[in-house]
Amino acid sequence: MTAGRIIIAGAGQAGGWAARTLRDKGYTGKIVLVGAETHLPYERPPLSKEILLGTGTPDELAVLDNEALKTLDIDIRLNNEVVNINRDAHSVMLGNGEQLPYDKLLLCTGGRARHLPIKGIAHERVFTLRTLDDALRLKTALAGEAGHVLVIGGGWIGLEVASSARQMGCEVTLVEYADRLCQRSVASDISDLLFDLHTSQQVNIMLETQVLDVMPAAKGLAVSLSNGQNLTCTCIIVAAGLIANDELAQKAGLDCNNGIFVDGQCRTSDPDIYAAGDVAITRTAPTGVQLRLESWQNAQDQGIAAASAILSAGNDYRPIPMLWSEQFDWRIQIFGHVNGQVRLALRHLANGASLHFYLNEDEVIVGVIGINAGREFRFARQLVERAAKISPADLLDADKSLKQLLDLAVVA
Amino acid sequence: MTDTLSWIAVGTPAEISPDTGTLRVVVEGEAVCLYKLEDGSIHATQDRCSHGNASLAEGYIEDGLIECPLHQGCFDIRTGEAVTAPCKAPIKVYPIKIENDTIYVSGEPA
Repeated sequence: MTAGRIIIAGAGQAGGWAARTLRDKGYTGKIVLVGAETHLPYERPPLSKEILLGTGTPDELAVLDNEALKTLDIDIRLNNEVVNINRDAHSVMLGNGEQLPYDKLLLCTGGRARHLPIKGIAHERVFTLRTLDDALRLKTALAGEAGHVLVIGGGWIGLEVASSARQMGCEVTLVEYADRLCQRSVASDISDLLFDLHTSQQVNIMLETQVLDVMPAAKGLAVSLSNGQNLTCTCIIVAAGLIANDELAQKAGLDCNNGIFVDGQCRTSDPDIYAAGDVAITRTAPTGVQLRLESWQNAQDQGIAAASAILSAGNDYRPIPMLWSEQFDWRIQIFGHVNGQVRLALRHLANGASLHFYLNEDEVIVGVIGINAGREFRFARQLVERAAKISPADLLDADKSLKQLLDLAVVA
Repeated sequence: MTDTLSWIAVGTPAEISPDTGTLRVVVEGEAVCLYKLEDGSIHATQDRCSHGNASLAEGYIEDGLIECPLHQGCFDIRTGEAVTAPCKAPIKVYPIKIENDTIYVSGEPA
């Protein structure tokens, strides 16, 4: 491509990696990176853990620092956003009114925390967690007084915040409207283990429970719940999932449905507009099911893939979903499709660690979850990548190492 | 390597796990990972990944690279160079020497 201009809307992890990759691959035109936040591109996973706990600092999250931006000659516009796309003119308008032409446009607009329509929930002691500023505000609130924290939502963010708040000395109650934790992302065996982990750490979990209303009270907030209970808490964290920031794309007439549809080259329905990261709906391996992948891994890998595809079409980006979570002393790693499979094979490892393999009706391994599995997870991951067909008996046989099983695996 | 380096005995080649090819040791308060590569050569780098809080001794060696167990970023074991995302900063490489079947690591990175 001759020197021109590539605009990246969204300066999170996907946008940051895309900008870096364009230069790494030799692009010499202008790169404009537009971010709504006031921070340089950073990684979000530590927000619910190291940042709240104070074991990590904002500097450590950087995807691109000032020095790298200068070296890579990236024109970054923070505290700004792309507010309109004129596809015919190949130009965008920024929030400050500036018009910029593009050759290619990459949308990495991510998502925002879902708010719940609960009476009284708009209060200064009610928090969500998506950005670094959110995390710093929440940290101040949690560290101020070791009070009683109510977490609404038993997904990954809710559980990680519950874990951090407990470790900060807070009393924690967590309510989840479904009948088990992380219902959308894992099978019930893992939901049950997460429930036991949190219960053993004195997190008070109420399943099939919703918050009906919130009232200001003498020492915080008075909350009434759908199970008939009332409680008083010092703050509330709403961890009710993510809404994709796809309005810009919708307004421009791109194919969207709570996210922007992309093909294997990360192209939207306009061949000069690409999308990557939390906002993109991607065909995943192996079956091609379309998912919006809200993960650190996808933000990085799809940012890189989109930048590569913009410069020259290559292999399709068709990822196997991968994510991890850290709660108390557990590191949970997930690879592949781990919800709704027909068979589970549980392999115990040393020191209480475990690998949970999920098999389809043909006994092909389609997903795995590791709990503190360390390097063993790598072999487990390769079994999923190869769609290995291994009998559950072999998977459970402690005398056979995973490396041996990998060598023996019949590739489906 | 010069004789001005201070050498610290950290173990024997046989103590490096044949299964993982790695051994985590502590040198002057710093966690160091020892590696034995397929060609039999022994190397040492800082054990902590430069990206996340992970022990490289828990990682996986392939073609002279160590893959971090947490985010699958890779470093060149011989040079410490960050090779794949998300790793950007290099890791420290320590000089080693082997005498009388003992591995010595210099407390000063190369």
